[in-house]
Amino acid sequence: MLEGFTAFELLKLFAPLIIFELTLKVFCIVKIIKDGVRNLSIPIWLIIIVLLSTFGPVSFLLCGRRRKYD
Amino acid sequence: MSSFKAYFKKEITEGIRNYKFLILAIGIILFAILDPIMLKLLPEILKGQTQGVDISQFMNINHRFSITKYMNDIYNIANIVIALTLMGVITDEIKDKNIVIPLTKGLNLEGLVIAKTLVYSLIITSFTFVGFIINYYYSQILFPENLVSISSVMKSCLLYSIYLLFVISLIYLLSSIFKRGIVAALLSILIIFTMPLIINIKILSNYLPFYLIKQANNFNVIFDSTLTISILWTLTYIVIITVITIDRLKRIEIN
Repeated sequence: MLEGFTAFELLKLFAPLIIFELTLKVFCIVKIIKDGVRNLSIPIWLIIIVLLSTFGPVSFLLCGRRRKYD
Repeated sequence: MSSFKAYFKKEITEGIRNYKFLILAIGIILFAILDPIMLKLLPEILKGQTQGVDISQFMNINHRFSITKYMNDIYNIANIVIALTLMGVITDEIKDKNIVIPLTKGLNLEGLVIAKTLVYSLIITSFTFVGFIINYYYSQILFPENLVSISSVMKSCLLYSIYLLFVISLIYLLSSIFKRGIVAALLSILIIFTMPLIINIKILSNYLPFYLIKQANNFNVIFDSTLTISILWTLTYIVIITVITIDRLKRIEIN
């Protein structure tokens, strides 16, 4: 797979995606622990964030994040 | 002018605090990185699915195809993300009764709507340009054949940005009409996805904002009279929609 690339080149290629995804997931998990959730329960949001790549954290930020005045 | 500055700053603070800028960045920029990588892996993935048959022979995946794929994702997914993120920008002002403050203090509502439009227009335009540049760079590394010039991509990006400004103003108008943000978002998504159907009507095609997307996808953007007229029409729609939104907000009844 991807014959023209060395392992380091591939790592460089995927690095932004991996860092982006991990940062987003960690950020959302910390947010859940600190502020709580709305609409669904904490375990369900954690499953969505961990299992669904990008769409999980985005859907949490859109619909699951507890706002300060909630 | 001072109230406009305050609205502008408030909108930026609110965007950061509610992670709206972050969500918009994810919705627009993520696919710039993801699409070329997925396209590069696609033949291998399909080979596994079809037991050794190399489907990639039937596909011509190159630099141009990769950028077109990103453009399609911007249209299909980024539009939904924008609608869902901005659906509450005006409805929340009404729901949370924040709009009472400028109304009772006699401040101008024009400034409020223009500040909101300006902040999100600047943010979305910047993200679109960044997304296109990242996508161009990644596509160039992974698909060095059939290269498209950066100037053609930037011209397409400019058309996309103008189209997205229209989408922002449309969402604001609908969210000033409906009390629930989700209704405004769904209706704006419906209008956005209906436009490609309406463009088949020849008399209307040049006057619809979707004409910009159609031209942008060709890469060979030439700013001729037809395209200039289409851009001017889209900008006119944006102004008209913003004026109607301001008027709607002035007549709103807060319970």
